[in-house]
Amino acid sequence: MILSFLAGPLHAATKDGIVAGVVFSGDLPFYREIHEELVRRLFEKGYDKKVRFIIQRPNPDALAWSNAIRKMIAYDASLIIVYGSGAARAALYESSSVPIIYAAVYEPERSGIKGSNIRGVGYRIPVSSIIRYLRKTGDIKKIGVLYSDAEPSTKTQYDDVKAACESLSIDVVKIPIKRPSEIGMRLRLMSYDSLLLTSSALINKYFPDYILVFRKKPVPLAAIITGLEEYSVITLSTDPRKQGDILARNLIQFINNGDISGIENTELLKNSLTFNMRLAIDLGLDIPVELLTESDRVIK
Amino acid sequence: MKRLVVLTVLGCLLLSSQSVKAASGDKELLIGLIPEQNIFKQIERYKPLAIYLSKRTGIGVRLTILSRYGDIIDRFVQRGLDGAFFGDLTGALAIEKLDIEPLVRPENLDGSTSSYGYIIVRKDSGIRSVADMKGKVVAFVDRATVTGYLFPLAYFRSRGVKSLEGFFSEYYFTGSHDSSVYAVLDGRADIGCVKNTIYNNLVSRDPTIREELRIIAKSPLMPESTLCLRRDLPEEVKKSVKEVLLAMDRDSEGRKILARLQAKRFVEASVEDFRPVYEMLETLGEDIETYQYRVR
Repeated sequence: MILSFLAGPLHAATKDGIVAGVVFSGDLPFYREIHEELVRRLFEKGYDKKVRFIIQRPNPDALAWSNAIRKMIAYDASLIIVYGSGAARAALYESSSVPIIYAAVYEPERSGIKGSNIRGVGYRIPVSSIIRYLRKTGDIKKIGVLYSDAEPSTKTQYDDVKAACESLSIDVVKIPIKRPSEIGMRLRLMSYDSLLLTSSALINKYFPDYILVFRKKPVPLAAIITGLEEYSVITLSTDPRKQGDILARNLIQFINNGDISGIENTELLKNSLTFNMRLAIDLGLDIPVELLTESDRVIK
Repeated sequence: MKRLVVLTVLGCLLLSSQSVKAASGDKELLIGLIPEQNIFKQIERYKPLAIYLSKRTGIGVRLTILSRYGDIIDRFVQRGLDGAFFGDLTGALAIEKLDIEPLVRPENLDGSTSSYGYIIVRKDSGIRSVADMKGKVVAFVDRATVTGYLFPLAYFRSRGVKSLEGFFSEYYFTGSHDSSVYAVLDGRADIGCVKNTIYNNLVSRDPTIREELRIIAKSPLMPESTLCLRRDLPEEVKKSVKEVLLAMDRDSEGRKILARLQAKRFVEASVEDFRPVYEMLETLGEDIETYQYRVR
């Protein structure tokens, strides 16, 4: 699926403007919010006429990401902007000369999203906090973690959950997902008493299709990015607008300097916590005081 | 703001059930609590004490919790409070602005009768000094605390931070010490400020917290929560309350309640205990009479 258009007020490239190829790791509200913030910031700072976007939101799989990146290279984009670690990794493989700027990548360095032609804004989520809150909702002994090997940051998140649970006598069930259909199958077959969705574009896009399968087991779900708060009891996510804000700064720096060497990699730690109390009550979970008092948003 | 409204509503709901009826007649004391911890925990800690005091003194003791630290000064008269467990700065403010008398304060389990403030960060944040904090987010507790605001402010200033706005990307007030800890744990703030007794309490219940946080700085000793009563209360009431509290470590029921408060016993308190608060204000060039303790 290719969507090519000029975003928001960014209508035409000026003579001295650039063409920026944008590849989403999946068509998720989380990435859309980042991009909207990017466009808004560029407009505010008077850079909206200096960049033309070509946007692609391919299906969240490695082949589609690679194809999307190749198209951007063929289009002679001045740089490629990628959202999420799946598209970021594909960009690194496919392009050695076109500069890449990423956003919304969890712990980029540890996830292998690094190189001389790539810069950007990542984020960190203390998964230990999610585990802490989950444990306050009930007796958690076995947490299932859905991740995708094609999205390296999500494997890093799995590793972090594993490390956080080591001293807590909680088993971590590894649930790698390659195709959407595997979500339903694994949810049916695996044994767990709580579930954590990593930031995988594949999983976050297709999880709602399997919600009925998931709901057969009355277990709490936690998520690392916004977008599935309806199904997730706890969501601890980085602020997508802040990601978009820093991305805009990085892009402006590129427009001004013509290269990315001066852009500093940023790893953002400014998270917000959402507690779906209505869901917690439906599931018969304990309602921890801490989640009521600490959450930035409580869904009642 | 939304969080404050939730807390206030929940607080009102809780407190409607907190009335402790006097065993005898219509004598009743209304005692205020500051939101040192979230209101549920505060009530859980102090409710048994109110019941115990009511039984032993024959005076009904009712608790009310204020949604913000500064409210205890502003609403003491308005709500007709007879006394309160004041914190470090609210105690000093109350001494200046309200006609109150320090009575007792708890001795902590480690034998100390003071507490101190910590500045905390996540260990994986890479922050080791104030220089590393530039552009980060700070979660203070409330303007009306030394450990949760004045100390960190003095600490930052002493290390070259001229204005909070210019140095940090954002700062805000969590309203309670435990919230400041959770804000840092969750990555909602990079830097937090907390009283050591609350920090220790959280760590004792969840040792993983200690593994995740680094203490960057520690404040001078400050007075622990101090029960102060209105000076114009009948002498026999003040005497009775004081005697019961000072003796409660000598009976088993009293010791159980003290354990919930994480205290060994109560000891006598005095105005002199608040001297370190005045010294901290002086360091910052602030006058207690004019200090703006309200969070706007």
